[in-house]
Amino acid sequence: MSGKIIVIAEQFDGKIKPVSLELAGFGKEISQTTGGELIGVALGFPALALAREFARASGLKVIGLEHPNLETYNADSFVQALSKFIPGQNPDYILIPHTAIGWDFAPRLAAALNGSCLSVITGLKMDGRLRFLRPICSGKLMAEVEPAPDTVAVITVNPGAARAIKPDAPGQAEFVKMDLAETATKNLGYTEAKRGALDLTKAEVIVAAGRGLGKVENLELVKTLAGLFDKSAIGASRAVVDAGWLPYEHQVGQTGQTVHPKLYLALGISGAIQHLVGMTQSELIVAVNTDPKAAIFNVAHLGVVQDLIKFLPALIEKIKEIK
Amino acid sequence: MMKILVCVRSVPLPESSFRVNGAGNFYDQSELNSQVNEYDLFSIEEAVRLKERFKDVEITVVSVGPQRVDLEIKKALAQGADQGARIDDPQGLEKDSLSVASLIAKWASDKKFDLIFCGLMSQDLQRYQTGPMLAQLLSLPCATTIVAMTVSDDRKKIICERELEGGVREKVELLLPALVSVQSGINQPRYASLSNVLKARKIKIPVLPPEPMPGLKPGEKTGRIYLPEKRGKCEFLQGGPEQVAEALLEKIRGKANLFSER
Ligand SMILES: Cc1cc2nc3c(=O)[nH]c(=O)nc-3n(C[C@H](O)[C@H](O)[C@H](O)COP(=O)(O)OP(=O)(O)OC[C@H]3O[C@@H](n4cnc5c(N)ncnc54)[C@H](O)[C@@H]3O)c2cc1C
Repeated sequence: MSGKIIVIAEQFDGKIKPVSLELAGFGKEISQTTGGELIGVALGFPALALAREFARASGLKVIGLEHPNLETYNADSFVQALSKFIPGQNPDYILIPHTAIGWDFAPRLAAALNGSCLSVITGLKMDGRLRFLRPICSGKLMAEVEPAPDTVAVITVNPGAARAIKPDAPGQAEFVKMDLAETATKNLGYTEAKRGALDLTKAEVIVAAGRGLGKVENLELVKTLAGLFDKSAIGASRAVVDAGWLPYEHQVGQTGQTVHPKLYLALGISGAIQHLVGMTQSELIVAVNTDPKAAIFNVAHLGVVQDLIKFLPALIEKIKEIK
Repeated sequence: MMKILVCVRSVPLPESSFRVNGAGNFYDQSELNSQVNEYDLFSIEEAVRLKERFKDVEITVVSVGPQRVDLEIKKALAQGADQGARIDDPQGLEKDSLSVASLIAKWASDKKFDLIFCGLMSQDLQRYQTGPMLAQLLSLPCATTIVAMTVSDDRKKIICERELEGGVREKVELLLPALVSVQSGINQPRYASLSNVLKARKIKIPVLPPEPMPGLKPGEKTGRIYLPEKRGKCEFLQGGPEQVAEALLEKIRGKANLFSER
């Protein structure tokens, strides 16, 4: 093994996505402890322009992998191309963003290379050797993981795990034409969900409903409470949207909106990492949850361990009193 | 006959109070109540809907683990699957994803499943790995994170919608046989009817020896499991509902002028 660290950029519509620069930043953290060489990779068609863009923005040497089947994302073609390209590089680490594209092909690449897949990595730690951190059990525990001995580590890095890299100077870019077979997978294109009228980022107070409300009828309490604040909006966890209690436009988190209000009230929300990435920037976070060990309390400033059904009416009454 | 496999994992109830085990390398599994991994419930529901549509469909549920995971296999059967199978690995629940995928792959390799369902991730270990790894080991096309799917009338292909970030969906067509991993929101899983629960109870679950794919090394190694450090300091407000409500309001009002006080 060569110590090399391969950073695989994510592109959409021919543009390098910002998460790729965080990924390069994470790569730099590894290289600062291991001394390993960092190399960027961009898959696409055409690939040189992409490779140049990533090299310019990251400062890394970047190799573009080019084939018509790589123009849009295709898991089979990605795995084919990378399983051909990677062995010649003999890297120790392959970094991939933990996104719906990254986690789609990274485990397959790891299986194809008989490597180790370390997914949802939110940080790293050096004590003798490198270890990687993943939240488990809805964030109630952390796991320290590492690749099995003598295997290449395919690591999916969670968005927000590292700062975007700051290049000293643009890197070199080159590209190779790949020879790929047809696949049983066809990308039929992309659609964008209809954005509702609700822009949660404008709200100063977000009263966010979680599954802990128990049933849809209890949303009335949340609506009443939200109505007592100025410039407020109702947010929701994915579980609440999935259950059909509130429309998608209320969803906060990785697959919803990212918000940073003055006050975020998390009501019956467990604090899964996918929810946290959308709201930890809030100025004041208040969490109400019956479970004192819920992960939401790890990011909350004020914690209330109470049953919402009893607590919300009391809170509503008190606010009405002072108004 | 269309053959469907649904991979199911037994997980502790998410609201459990987790403790680290004696060896410090997993959570203590004793005294935890279990449930079917929520993402797998969506898989089973999707499979049952295919059976309702095409009729001549056989749904098999497989799980890797010790005897107690039979409980979750039974729950899956009660939701409408036809038969179960347990790959009898006492350490199955703690193993890395590649090892788990390898056990399922070896067993499934000669079964000619037309469609395999996995949950996007497990609620406990949250790795997002087993499904796509299984697809790779079986050389099947695969789509993860699906929030909608349609099998063509001739059952030769499946069109899936994958949910990406920012509300974008990717439409992808896979030729069957294929594997999909299911994201929440794809459906509302049904509750098992009492008659199905009783029926499921009688179904015998074959116990299979754990055989890995030849020549495959294990993947990831878990070193240590620990309680996360708190990022900030959370101040807990103590007392009855009224007291806490009052204390909370004092804190909020000090922070910013959020109410239009009249
Ligand atoms: C790819 C991917 C993307 C995702 N994107 C998002 C996203 O954008 N946003 C998001 O929110 N999630 C997202 N999720 C889902 C996320 O993992 C969690 O499943 C979800 O956030 C859980 O919602 P919840 O906290 O409301 O429900 P649960 O996790 O079920 O938590 C309910 C909480 O309520 C508490 N509770 C129960 N009863 C009461 C009571 N009477 N009073 C007070 N508290 C009570 C419980 O203790 C528990 O902590 C995503 C998941 C994946 C895999």
